[in-house]
Amino acid sequence: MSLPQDEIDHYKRNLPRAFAAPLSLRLRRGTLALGFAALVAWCLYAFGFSPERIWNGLGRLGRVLGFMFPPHIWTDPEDIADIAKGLGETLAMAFLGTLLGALVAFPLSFLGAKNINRFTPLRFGVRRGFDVIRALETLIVALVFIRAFGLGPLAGVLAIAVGEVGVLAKLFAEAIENTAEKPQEGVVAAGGSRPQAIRIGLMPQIWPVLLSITLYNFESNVRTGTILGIVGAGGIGFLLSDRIGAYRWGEAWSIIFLIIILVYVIDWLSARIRARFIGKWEGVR
Amino acid sequence: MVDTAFGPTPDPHPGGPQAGYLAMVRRRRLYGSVLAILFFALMASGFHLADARNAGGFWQGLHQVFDFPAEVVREAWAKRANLPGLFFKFVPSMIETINIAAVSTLLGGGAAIVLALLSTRGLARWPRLIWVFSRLMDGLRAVPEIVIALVLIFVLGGGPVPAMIAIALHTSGALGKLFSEVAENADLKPVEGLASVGARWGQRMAFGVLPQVAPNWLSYTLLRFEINIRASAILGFVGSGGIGYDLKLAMQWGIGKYDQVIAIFSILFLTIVLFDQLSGHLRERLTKGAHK
Repeated sequence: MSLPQDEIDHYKRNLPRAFAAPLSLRLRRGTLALGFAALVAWCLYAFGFSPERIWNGLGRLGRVLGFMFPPHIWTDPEDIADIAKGLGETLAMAFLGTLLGALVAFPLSFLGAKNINRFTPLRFGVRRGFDVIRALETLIVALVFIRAFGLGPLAGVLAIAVGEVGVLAKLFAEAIENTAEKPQEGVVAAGGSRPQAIRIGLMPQIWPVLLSITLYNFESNVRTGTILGIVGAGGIGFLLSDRIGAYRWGEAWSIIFLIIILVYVIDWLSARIRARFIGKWEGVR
Repeated sequence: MVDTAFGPTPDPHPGGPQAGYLAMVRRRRLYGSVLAILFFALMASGFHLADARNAGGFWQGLHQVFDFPAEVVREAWAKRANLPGLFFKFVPSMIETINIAAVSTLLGGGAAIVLALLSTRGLARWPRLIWVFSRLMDGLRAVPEIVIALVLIFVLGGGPVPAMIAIALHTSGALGKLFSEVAENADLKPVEGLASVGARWGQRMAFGVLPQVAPNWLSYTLLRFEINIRASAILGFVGSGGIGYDLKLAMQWGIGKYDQVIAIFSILFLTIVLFDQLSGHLRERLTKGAHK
């Protein structure tokens, strides 16, 4: 039932716009594509990207990858304890940082929620405060804390906590705003005070959401913890940068594998917990 | 009455429903408080451990938290005349950082489109290989950028190229998963229509799927670009180009270059806020439509 070619040509001639986008749209698309391509090309040139360099690098990459197999397995109990401690430290950093952040963020979030804090200037101030904290890069905060507390996991915990305050307070405040008014009105109608209305009418609605958000952020903080370790805030990242710095690639690869496994397990566990007890909430920062 | 024939039904809550309710409340409170105690014990012990493992203690360090920022600000204030000049001095490296993020987002996004389409049920070119591609994306996503960058810096030497490749690899995994989730919800009818008139796989994807998913994909890409700006600033810190590298040099120098530190901090801060707002605005338009 296909059309003969001359009929197709006929329609193409008479209905040009059915076969191609209008010129202005095509121009716009072309310019956009060209602009992106030019950006990529210019950047590659400016970065000193050359096939030769990649080619030379590939040889070295092969050598480095060669250490991956057979994987290095620590046999000295002291080394094993060291690595296990590093992994535990990273986990503890993420856990403590998230929890500390959540504890501080929780009361603050009420100040930033539209249906609790009706005093607009204060609410706006608090909200902008959250934005400012979120814009502070965790890594920079960590550097400041490392200067104050010395190298180690404590700086990492506090840096994660500070970053988390901004993120969690914002998400918590949004969760509080997304609650139904009716249960609170019911409590007030039955003679409850405003704190009682919040405690009995509002809190049961937000608990699961808060838990879910906190778990999700814990998950992403396990990654952050690894990164902070590399700049000197303890944990497995610290051990990794140490091994790479000493060119002990066999051990470095094993640590990288352990990090991947750790992240994977935590993601999986937390997804399971969230789905089982709380229901689905997929957050994006 | 039927009930009398079988004897009185046992009351499930002796003492009326109120007692049952109160018992439940009491039980829940008990569980809650046990959990809370456990949590705080864990937290206290963890904090203690972190304190003990740290080079300096928490309580000795506490009053120093603001010492370093104060020192930095004091010196920068003393040299405040330099700040505007320094500000412009670091604009090129900030642009380099943004460029790293842009190129890696574009390259990673391109790879993510292919990976996502190949690993989405119903759309995949080779349905048997879905498992392979989705595990590949998981792997790419699981390795933090900074780890890839550390390996690549050793392999390729310093500079922006390793950072770019590292971020692009991570981006392709992270975006690929999100893209594939969006594509899963795409309507298959246009694809079937195209298949019935003999379109090849590429044509089916380009004309049947892409128009449906483009706004969501673009929105995710913008969000990723925002994240990648931060990532590329951080990667500079471990030794590859951009503003992070300048920051590291200035911080290592210590006293005497704190005016540079402040200049870099503020330019980085402003850029992050700017792109945050810009992409937030654009994403809102993409997902909710231009005219509200």
